[in-house]
Amino acid sequence: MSTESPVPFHTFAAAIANYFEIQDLLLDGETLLVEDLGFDSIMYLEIVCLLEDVAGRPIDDGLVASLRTVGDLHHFYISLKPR
Amino acid sequence: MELIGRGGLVPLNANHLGWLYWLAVSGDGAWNWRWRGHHPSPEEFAARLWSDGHLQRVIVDSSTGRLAGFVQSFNYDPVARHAHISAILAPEFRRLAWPIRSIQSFVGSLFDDWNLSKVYMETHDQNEGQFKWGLRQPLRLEACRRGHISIGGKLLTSKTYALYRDDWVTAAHRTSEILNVFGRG
Repeated sequence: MSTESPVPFHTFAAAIANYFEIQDLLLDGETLLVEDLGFDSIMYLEIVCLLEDVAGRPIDDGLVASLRTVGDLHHFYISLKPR
Repeated sequence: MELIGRGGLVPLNANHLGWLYWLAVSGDGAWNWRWRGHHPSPEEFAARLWSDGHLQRVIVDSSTGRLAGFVQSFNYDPVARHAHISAILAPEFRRLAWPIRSIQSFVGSLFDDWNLSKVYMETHDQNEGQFKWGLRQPLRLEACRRGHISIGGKLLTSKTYALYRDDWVTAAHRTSEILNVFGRG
């Protein structure tokens, strides 16, 4: 697992927006992944792969698929990092 | 074994053939893989695998040792620097991230170790969504043949996609950027 501290929400959201080329939408914790951002199974897969690289270990695809908002995603990301 | 997270890539050997034959000719594997519904004999199957295959790797679940899938490159052209790839996963391993990462690692080795400029993949109407999901990379449509293949009595549109080296590098750079922000494990 990474020894770096997790990034704060605004940095995390900006990185997500940049990675998925999301424009014209300011992401907040309540932004819905599917309804607002159009997340599909491919994008969820990308998130799983990225988070596995963050965690340095496999993570449960089903857990990520159950996340509904960008805030949920950030919380999950934080849970992968050391306190 | 080359490990990519939970998945491992091992070279194809004779011990894998029985399982791989079952995978290729049973269920929808027969429709969606390279034989497009034709059921070869085990001997024909093995002969063709070895005759036109370039690189062939079996995807293994490293946590259990179970065989999960197969990925191969074929029609390798070292002068034009391209090849085709095909991949198949056992039903219980589809829609999971780690087998897909093994396939992506395989594709990466074609660009990095074999210096290919592009990799071709073929799919059809009924398989396109799963196919794009599985590769998770920017694909360019290179050919579209309407009503070109008959599968299960239906004429389906066959499509050839290509993944270009530059697109692969760009995608890898984008991944590297976000991981630099998030912190790697």
